[in-house]
Amino acid sequence: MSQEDLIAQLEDMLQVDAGSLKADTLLETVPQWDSLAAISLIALADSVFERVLEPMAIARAKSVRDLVNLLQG
Amino acid sequence: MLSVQLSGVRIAGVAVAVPEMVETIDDLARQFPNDDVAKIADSLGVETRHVDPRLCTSDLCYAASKRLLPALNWEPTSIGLICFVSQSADFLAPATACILQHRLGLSKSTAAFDMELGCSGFVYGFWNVASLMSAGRIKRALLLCGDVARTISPEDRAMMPLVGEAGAAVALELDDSATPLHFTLGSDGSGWKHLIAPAGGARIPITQDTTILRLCPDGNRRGLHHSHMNGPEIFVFTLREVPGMVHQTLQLAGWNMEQVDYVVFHQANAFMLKHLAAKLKIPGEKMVLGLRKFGNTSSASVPLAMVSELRERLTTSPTNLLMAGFGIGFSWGGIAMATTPMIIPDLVYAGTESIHEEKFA
Repeated sequence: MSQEDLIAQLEDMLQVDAGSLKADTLLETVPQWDSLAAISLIALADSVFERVLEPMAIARAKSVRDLVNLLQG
Repeated sequence: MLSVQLSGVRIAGVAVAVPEMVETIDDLARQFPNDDVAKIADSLGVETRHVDPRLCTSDLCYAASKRLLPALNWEPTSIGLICFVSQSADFLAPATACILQHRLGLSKSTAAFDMELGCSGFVYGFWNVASLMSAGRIKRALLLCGDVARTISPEDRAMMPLVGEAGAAVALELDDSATPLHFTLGSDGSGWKHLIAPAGGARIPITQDTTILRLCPDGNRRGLHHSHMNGPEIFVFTLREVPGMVHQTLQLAGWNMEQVDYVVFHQANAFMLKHLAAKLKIPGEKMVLGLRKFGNTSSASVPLAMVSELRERLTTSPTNLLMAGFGIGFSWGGIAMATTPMIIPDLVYAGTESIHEEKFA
């Protein structure tokens, strides 16, 4: 899946407007990136990529690019 | 995983008591005015929880037992074993099962003991009691399980909307014609930190300092005596272990999912249960979701779902059930069993009349 598609998946998951997230968007500037979002991300990785993410790795993520990298493995 | 097949024990009946008092999303909104509690509640799948700070788990299990035993026509003195599964015992010591032996008027020839487990507690308790009954030819036993929400920080926006209270009484009896019970059990203590009430045991005794609320990495404030839950770690554990447990349990029973009538998992939260259902391809009509009105009630959640969602079916027809509990410990257990019609009284709503009238001080 391309980076654009992955970012679109993240926008959908966080219920933000399409195109509002860029690779270098900092997660701390995204109000929807809350404690429930990490759970949603784990679910997304599991159902779409059949990968189980490491919560510590999610906690270290600072930007949308970091999340994309996690999803891509 | 440990796999155990047990014959000769059946569930004769199940009763569950919840507190009469209810907390709603509006109550939560008042408590957390700056949070989108509706969104949290929607994700968790919980609208109301029954919580009463005056009641102990033992009071709820007592109320459930007092409804169940007459419905079964069981004399209390005919019970040979009582096991209380909880992480909210009345006291650090003695075992609450002994107090309940006394309150329920069981005979002095009853074996009574506590088991300290949470989410996996019903399955572990069932396996344990059924094994003891089988080995010792104990005709009748009471498995009591549940928890109260005493250790939740009032500022915990992850756990306050989720945790409810309930006490279950499950009556088990020896029956040579009973269909076999198929258990799988496992544990992974590397996850011990991820769902924990740290202070109050031998490792971290209670001091004034342990009661101070501190900001945790997830943004919630808790004291060391409060429950700490790491949602992402618990979810990852569930994805790692539960699918394998389900497959192994079904294999042990010689079933595939088509032969299962209902799947009753520990009612942890709706998001996780729906994800598991999709992952394990469990059809929606088979996947029991019972936590909307009650929240996550720990080891009582499986019996509570049986009472609230499956009472009509379980009291009238043989039913192939796949049940499982997974969580704190980490600990997990699954059971595949074909039930025969059992006695299930209406859900009991307990108030202060259920409180143990004898006081310590």
